[in-house]
Amino acid sequence: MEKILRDKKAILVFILPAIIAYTAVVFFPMCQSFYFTFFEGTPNVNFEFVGLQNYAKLFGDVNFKESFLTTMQYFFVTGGGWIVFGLIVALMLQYGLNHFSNAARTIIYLPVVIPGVAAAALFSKVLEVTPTYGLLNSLLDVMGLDSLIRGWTGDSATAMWMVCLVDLWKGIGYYTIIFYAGLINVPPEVEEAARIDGAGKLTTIWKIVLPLLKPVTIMCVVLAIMNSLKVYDMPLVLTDGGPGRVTTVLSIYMYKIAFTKWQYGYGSTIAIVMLVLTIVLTQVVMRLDRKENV
Amino acid sequence: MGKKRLARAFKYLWLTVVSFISVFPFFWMIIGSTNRSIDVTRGKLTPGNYFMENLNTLLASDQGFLRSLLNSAVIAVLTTILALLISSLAGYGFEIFRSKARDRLFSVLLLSMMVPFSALMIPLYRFFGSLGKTPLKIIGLNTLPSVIIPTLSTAFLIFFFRQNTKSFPKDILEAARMDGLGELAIFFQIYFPTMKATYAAAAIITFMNSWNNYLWPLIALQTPDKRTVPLVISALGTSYTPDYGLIMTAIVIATLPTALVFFVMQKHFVAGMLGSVK
Repeated sequence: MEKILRDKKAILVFILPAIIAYTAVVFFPMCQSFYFTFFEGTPNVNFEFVGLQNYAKLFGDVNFKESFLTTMQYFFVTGGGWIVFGLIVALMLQYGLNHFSNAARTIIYLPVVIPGVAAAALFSKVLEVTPTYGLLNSLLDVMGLDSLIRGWTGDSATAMWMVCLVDLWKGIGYYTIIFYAGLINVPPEVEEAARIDGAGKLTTIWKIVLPLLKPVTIMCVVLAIMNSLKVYDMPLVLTDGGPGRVTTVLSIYMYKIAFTKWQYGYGSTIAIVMLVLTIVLTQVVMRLDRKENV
Repeated sequence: MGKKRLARAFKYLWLTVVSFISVFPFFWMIIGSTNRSIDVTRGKLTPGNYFMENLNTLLASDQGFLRSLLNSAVIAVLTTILALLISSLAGYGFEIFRSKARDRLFSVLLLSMMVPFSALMIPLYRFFGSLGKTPLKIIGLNTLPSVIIPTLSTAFLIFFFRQNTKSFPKDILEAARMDGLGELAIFFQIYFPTMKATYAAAAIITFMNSWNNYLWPLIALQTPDKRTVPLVISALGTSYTPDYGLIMTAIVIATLPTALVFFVMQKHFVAGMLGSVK
């Protein structure tokens, strides 16, 4: 009896610190955010209960709709790109290279190491047009493609694409490593057996390796969904949400509403929409997985 | 045979392109840090000898770069140590002492992994702000602890440690218990040294996230003497007459710690990641 009691205490020592920290900085604030969505004004000053008005406001808010679509663009281009290129690069590392595999892996991971803000500062210089041409425009100039020269991050037609591409560049290595770890776990006998049966390399990968890789793929997709829906640092530092509002993703819109206009209630509502969006999308992916397994 | 050679040529061409895309920005930023602003603007791609001058200007500038390095280092190191300790204890606890109730608790934790930080920011800002008038103001807004505390418990790390604990041999555990070792002693004396790869991978991820964190420090830290490196870099980039040699130097220095952590521990990194996808 005494031993069991002692064990119970031990278990608390293991789990309790995390639970306390978690409740304080995630669970409680999350509930409070939700509570705030029913109010407008500044807390303790003129905080007024407005019921569902903040949610109703979303539907008529053109800026919200625009931010939502911008986030979706980022989600599909960058989030999708991480998965597709991460997988292709990992496959090349595992099956395409006999030498240099370790070196290649390190090189591909390099962009992940650079701080997001530093990458933004770096690329704003690469993509610049004034006061002098940045690297990209200089290159276009040399190649005689003058018509393409532009302020890549200042032109509303290209700014969001630049944000997407720079973050795509920065993130591929992260997903490559996870996919690669998954590929190492594929038992070599499986490939061996397929090869003996006369399957070519591509067929083996397509028919044998990829299905075995599914749990890892699901994990990557879930991570990509979470990371792409909450994006803020690249569009904040590279373009500051502009020009106009073309790179104002949901996070930045929420940040500006809450911390420059000080509308906590409406800001919280946008945050809750992001939360619901993330949960719905990740749950859809996880359900898909379960259904196919039945 | 010709086809095979073509395939191989294609492979290495592809590899070269990928490597170039990955490495070139690094190459350029290092080159840039050795040149004057005007040369960086002109797209000069050969190293100059202005690195020391850039460094001196950077350190002498009123942006407080050195101070921000110190702030970032304190935050990143403390966050990494504390977050790894809390999360590995929990990940281990959830896997070793399983029960229905604890499994349910874990799935709630896991679900909250989806919560974007934006959904927590306003209440956290208000909470830390409200500490300013109490004795707890040492951890209130505009202090380093206010940046550290919200990142201490991440569901991802707990999940990561739990996944890796699955491969921890349970018979060692039984043997240690027979020897009369307490649960905490087992954790620190046996589990911790065995799981070095897992800790290394978790340390890389946590240190990088903390070092690169931008949005929360931007909101929580208000006076120049408290700023972290990303805040200073973003301030340098948006100044009225940006000095590009100086910016490049700052970027190089900002990248050094994370690059160093990665290179020192990268051998363990893949091994650690491996444990989490099993």
